[in-house]
Amino acid sequence: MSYFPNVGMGTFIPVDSIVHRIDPRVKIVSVLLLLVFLFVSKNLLHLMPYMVFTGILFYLSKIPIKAVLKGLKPILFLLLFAFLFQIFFTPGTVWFKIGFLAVTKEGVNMALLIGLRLVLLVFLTNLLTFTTSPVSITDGMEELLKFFKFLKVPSHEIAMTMSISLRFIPTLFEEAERIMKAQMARGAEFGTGRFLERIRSYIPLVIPLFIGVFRKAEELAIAMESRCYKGGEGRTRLKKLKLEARDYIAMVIVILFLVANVMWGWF
Amino acid sequence: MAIEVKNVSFFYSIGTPFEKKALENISFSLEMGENMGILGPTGSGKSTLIQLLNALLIPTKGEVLIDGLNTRERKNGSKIRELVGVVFQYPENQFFEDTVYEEIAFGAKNLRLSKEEVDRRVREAIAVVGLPEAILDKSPFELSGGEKRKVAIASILVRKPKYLVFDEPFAGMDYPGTEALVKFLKSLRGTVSLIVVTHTLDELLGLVDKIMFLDNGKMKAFGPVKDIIHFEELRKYVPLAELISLLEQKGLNFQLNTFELDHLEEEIVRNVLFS
Repeated sequence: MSYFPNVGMGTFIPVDSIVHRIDPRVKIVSVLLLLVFLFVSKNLLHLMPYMVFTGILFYLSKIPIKAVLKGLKPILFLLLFAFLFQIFFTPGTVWFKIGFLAVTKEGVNMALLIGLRLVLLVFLTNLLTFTTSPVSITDGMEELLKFFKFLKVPSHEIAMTMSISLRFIPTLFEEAERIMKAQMARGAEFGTGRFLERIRSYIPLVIPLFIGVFRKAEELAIAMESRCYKGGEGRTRLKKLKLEARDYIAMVIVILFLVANVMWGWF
Repeated sequence: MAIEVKNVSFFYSIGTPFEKKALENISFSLEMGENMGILGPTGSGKSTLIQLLNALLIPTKGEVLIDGLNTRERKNGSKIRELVGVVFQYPENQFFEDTVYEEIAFGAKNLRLSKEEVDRRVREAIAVVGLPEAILDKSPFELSGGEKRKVAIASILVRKPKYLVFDEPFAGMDYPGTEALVKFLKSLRGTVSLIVVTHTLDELLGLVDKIMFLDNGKMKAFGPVKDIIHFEELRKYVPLAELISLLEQKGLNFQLNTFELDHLEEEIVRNVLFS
């Protein structure tokens, strides 16, 4: 029995693959570009190449299909809601009726378009987090944010905050699981009874968890200060990110794919 | 009436890339009234094993029976948790109520007992752990480390378990605190069956009847203290072990049937005087 999922949205899966080895900056930029163009596409047919492209990337990443599909679990409700909302409330040519609800051709088209976009959004962001360790993501973000130095963007501080947050997500889950088990050993039952009782049943979990989080934050701040942490100024790197041939090739492939897709839309 | 663990294996995150074997083919039984120590290095599967005992984890393979109740059957969950009380590591981190009284009463209230019975049990539990009743109105967060630990133990005792499991009860405690806790645990002998998990042996001295030694998820030794005292790997955990081995090499004959320091000293004196 596991109270919290071990593999889901945002978990790094350490496998040796070509996608894992690509520079995090290239992966971040590629995923951002793919997402932007994905949401600009208004034609259902134009999403098909994205499906194939994402499928190939997952195949190359050697991520187990089970983990890929499990990533969809948290958004299933949203997906279903968006799908049904579009089907029933998009005006247009009526296809058939279910009671007072009319299903339009435009509605079905829109529902499929939005559903597919959401699925691809999750797949692509998961592809990034499955194949890139949290440390690499923040390193990549820090380097990319340096382009905005002229706007006085505190790239290091943002990256450090992100890195700490990401680092503490699994710790938080572990802590929650530990407290949950300790309270269950005292006979607590979580998520049972009527609505209000259900909410109240989580108090024995939430209060100790919050206390623990604040204690950990305090401890971390002290630990960082005691090791002379004083922000990004004058900070050097042990491992410098360096673009290699495969990174340039990957970037070119993504750009060519996007250009081809845009041109297909024009003609 | 007993705890029976039959060919139990447990894997974390089974079927995922993070699959990890925690226990492999563990079998043992513990009769009501017997006290047991589980010993082993960090990551040997000790904590996993005790979570299997009160149905917080279900074995991947094999069965765990508590007084005949199978942990695999969901309907047995709450009854099993009533029979087996577990005091986790740093139990004070689970506090959430305003007063010590409410904190201790939480476990009893979950048994759906009457208000009077809950009150009676809370006062009984606080007395058993040796704290004054005046502490009941205080916030659990303003107590000292030792007091917090005692309140956490009282919050399990209030459920009147038959088997009481302690996961590293001495973690983070100073020496006098550990001594006091050992003394308290010894006082519980006979009222409940104790299962104490630790990675050092000193605290188990004179407290348990049986010892299990776990390493890398496997049961390397299990049995009455006197039978497994000569188990080589366990010797690393015995105080004065090096001295005993040295004296044995010199031809002295030890008749060890406990790990208690007093007994070891007596044996050394007996050997030195009569050899």
